[in-house]
Amino acid sequence: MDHLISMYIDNELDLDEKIRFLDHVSGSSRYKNDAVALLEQEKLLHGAINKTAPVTEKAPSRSRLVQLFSSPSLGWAVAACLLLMVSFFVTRDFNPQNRVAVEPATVFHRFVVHQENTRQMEITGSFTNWQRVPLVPTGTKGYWEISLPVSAGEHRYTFIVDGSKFLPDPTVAAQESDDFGTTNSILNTGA
Amino acid sequence: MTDKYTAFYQEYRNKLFSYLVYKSGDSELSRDIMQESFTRHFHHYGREAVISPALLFTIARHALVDHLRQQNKFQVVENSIPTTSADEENSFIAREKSARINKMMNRLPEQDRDILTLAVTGVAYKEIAATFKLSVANVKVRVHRARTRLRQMMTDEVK
Repeated sequence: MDHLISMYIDNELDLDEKIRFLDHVSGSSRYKNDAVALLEQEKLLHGAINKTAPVTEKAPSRSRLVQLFSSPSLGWAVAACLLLMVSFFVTRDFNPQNRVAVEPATVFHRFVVHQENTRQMEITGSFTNWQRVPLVPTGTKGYWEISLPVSAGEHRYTFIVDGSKFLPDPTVAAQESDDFGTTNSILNTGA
Repeated sequence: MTDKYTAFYQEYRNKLFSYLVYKSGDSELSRDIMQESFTRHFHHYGREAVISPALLFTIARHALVDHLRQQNKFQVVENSIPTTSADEENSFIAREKSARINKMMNRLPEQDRDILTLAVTGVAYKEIAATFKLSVANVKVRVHRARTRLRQMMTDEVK
């Protein structure tokens, strides 16, 4: 059952497995501590591994290509590949809607909230496309936390207690009411 | 078809790039291999509307191995450490932690390291399984085993 923790981290759980995972987390403090420790470790792994490819439309440099694919038997194949690649990217360039957008810088932001006697805490905001994401209980004093990728700029979000009650972040003074009667917290992340 | 392939490119561009940078430690080389891998994949399969992340990763792995073989450069290259906009002390701590996790990653068996790297970059288990010709059940076990080994090594080092 331990591998359910990694499947949870990697978003690989189906609905039945999610139920089993939550049963284990709520029934065993050791299991819960393992899950939280691996999630903390995952933040380090994400920082070490995840890189963003430079946004570029230009073809690979010739010297690199010569090094990479210098076998004479591959000559015609490489030429055909280059032709296709150029036609592929050039075709895309003619349509401005197909251009790859320059993504704003994204950093992991840690959200922490204190809420005792609660079965479930979730967060929803502009950085999750307003999808609900569960927080992870940490320690025994009623703290919940999660680290989420947040792009640079201004974001709105709120916590959800036990699936129904909206709770703006008590540690953030900037708040704003939306058209649905909910008060959202405002988060500004630098570029 | 072009739209479908563009979506595939956008979804897997960063995943493949992260994997290649982690393997090679060379971002320029990684960008070139990434672009060439998409080109080869498109040339062979794209026009038949067959989109296969596993094939893309296989093409990229082979291209990287070919390149390293030509360069006689099989040793693991020191990975670049991400910079942070935090203050200097936090930046130093982040660099230390990042260096530690990189060091521990390098102690994992190569295939386990590859599998974990792909999982961390967000590649689905079924695609990892197809890339390494393993069962999905096997990938589940190996991803988790790699994570727990890393955790054990990090804990042992602190003691």
